[in-house]
Amino acid sequence: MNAPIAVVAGCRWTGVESRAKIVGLMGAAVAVAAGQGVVVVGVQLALAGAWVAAGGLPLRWVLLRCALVTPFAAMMAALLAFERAPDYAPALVVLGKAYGSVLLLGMLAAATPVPELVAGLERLRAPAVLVATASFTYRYGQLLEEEWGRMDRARVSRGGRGAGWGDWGPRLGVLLVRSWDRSERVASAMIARGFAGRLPGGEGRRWGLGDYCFAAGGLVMAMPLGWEVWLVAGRG
Amino acid sequence: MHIADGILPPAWCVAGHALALGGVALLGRRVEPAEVARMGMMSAAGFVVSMLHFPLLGTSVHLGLMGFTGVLLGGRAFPVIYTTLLFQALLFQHGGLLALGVNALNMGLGALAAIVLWRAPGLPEVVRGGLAGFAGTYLPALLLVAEFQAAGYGKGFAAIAAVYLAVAVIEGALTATAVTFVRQAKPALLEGR
Repeated sequence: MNAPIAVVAGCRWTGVESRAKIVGLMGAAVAVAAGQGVVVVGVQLALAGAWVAAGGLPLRWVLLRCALVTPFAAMMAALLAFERAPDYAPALVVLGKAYGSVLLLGMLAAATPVPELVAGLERLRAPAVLVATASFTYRYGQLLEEEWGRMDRARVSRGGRGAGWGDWGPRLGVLLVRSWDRSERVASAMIARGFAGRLPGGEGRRWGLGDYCFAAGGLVMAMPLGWEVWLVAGRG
Repeated sequence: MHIADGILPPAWCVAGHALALGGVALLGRRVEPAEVARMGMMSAAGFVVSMLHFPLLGTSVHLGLMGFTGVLLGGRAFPVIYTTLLFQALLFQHGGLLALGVNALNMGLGALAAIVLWRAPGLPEVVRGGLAGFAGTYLPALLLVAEFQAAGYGKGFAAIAAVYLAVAVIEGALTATAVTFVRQAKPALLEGR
């Protein structure tokens, strides 16, 4: 669980306060997803690219992130292009929005360690049940990965080869039973230490000018959208 | 099965968010501290299992454990699935942020259908487990196809339903065997204790 979500070394946005990153980048991602016209989405995609470049994220990272969404986005764009030919604008809009959203949310993950992200959500008053479950998801994700690795090593040491389809159910059951026991012990220890269902996110530091500017990035990304709404209203 | 941002109309996504957050509020209320740990464990299990991809019918698919989560957690499965999807959207960009509500509704409804089948009277436990695992995967796939068709993507996407039928059969068989194992090794898990 650690490797794919590690903070990218050299990213200039790691020092920004977590709430500012969440507000700015989530807001920007929503603004990109709400765009409708080719020009508007194109401008938003260019702004997202500039934001990524300013953060010092390497080209390889950008290409990898885009590759993640390409199979799905390209298939949807192809279906739209086929269905609405010769109007290819909707297909281009779908591609632009998918890539823009991936770059912005990817940047949030690249600049924010998971515990900081969860603490930021808590400080933003996200529902307690979501914050606590998210925090445990991170903690137990590592635990489950370790347990899965141990089970794999044990199977190999017993002379087993690749797991067949029939092994998956019992393996999942073993993984779950063992991990459940450990989760119960962790929960008991936490309750003994005073855990009452809410994990404290801390106060967080005071925002500086850089934090305010970063959070305002979401508004900048919404400006082309506002222009689009104004144009549509003018036509109406 | 994760819908990316920009695919569905924004108004649908906003409505999906409203309904999904309503579901989280309703099914996530009065959670006991010990329950949170179990919910986090199942959320992590869904998260880890979703990273194990395998090739099937020319495409790459992964298991989701929506049905198994429903069997073990009951209605608490809904906030758990919402959290797993939020994590996947933020950290791996599997599914969009604006589309999170629709994704959570699709998969959460799959888990709720699994609960109904798991609690159906008169069937052997292994059959109920299999049906729950199947429904937990196939109902979200059918909802996805219906949404894409309604959004104007044509009927081409219906082919995906065939791929997910195979995934749902695998998930059903896996859930049935996992339930049988858990019944022997730690029956309390299946009784909500």
